[in-house]
Amino acid sequence: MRELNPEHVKAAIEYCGHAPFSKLISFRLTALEKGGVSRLELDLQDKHMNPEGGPHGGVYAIMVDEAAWWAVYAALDEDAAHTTVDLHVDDLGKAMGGTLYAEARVKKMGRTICLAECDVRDACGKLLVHGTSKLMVVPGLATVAQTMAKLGLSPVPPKFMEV
Amino acid sequence: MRKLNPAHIEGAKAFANAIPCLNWLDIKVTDITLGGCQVEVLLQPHKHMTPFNGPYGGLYASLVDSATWWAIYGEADEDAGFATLDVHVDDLGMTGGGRLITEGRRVKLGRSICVAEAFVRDEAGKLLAHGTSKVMIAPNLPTIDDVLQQRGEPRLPPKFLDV
Repeated sequence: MRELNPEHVKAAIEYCGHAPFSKLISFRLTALEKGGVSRLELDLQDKHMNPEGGPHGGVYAIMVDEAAWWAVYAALDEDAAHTTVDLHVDDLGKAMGGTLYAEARVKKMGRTICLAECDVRDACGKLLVHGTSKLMVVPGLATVAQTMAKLGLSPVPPKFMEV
Repeated sequence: MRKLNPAHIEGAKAFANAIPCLNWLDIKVTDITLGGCQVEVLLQPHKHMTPFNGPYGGLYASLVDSATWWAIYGEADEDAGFATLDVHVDDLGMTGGGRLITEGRRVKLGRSICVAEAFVRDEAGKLLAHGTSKVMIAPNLPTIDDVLQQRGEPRLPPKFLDV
């Protein structure tokens, strides 16, 4: 049985933290787990908020989009690469500040199309957002390891280990 | 038939373009019409792009979220306050840079629930994303004037002109 290699997860979290868009939005990937689970966090700042209060809907959408991508990544074969096909976000509540916690899970890993769902909650566990995203496995698309190599980053440890 | 007051539209655009979240993503509301709008972003390599050389899906989602909201705004009554209920985005293509131009269109302006759609295109007109959003009109939700009043700023000029 294969397990995610914690060293690979550490490298992926670091890679995500260095991506320009994650720095811009200030979200952080905190975990990748076996079976296709990802966790993301975002500390709300003034820049994320609407003038009426509450985070901008785009911030919720970004968290679902990103968490769903990483959830599928956690379950995807090492040599495969994927891209987002669609995103559906239901806005269910407002947070007035604090940290947002996104947890995404793969519902189906298809050979070509994968489905992931994501909940975003506040620190008290109040459900703020539910979303789903379809992602497509595309042969020939650059993998994270290939992209890291192209960017001159140190080689990423193997993704899975047999236990 | 009612006509939008150009002085109000200029004020609404200035309000939109001062929203911290849009400002920080470089998203600009460039036009608001009766049931439509245009929203733009100039892609910046170190801000909006994935390591795979396309814009982040979350940026498309933010454009759809904004353009659908302002398309509804362009037709709704002056005293209406809104909240976004959901956003659905289909990612249809990638671009390596340049300006993304999003056209928002009202599909239906209901008494309580409104539906709008948005098309994200590159400068050559290639369709990169399409999305829809449901927006709720509710009497207890704040309007732009409520927000301005709370800040101690002057109200916008009247939204509609009688013609």
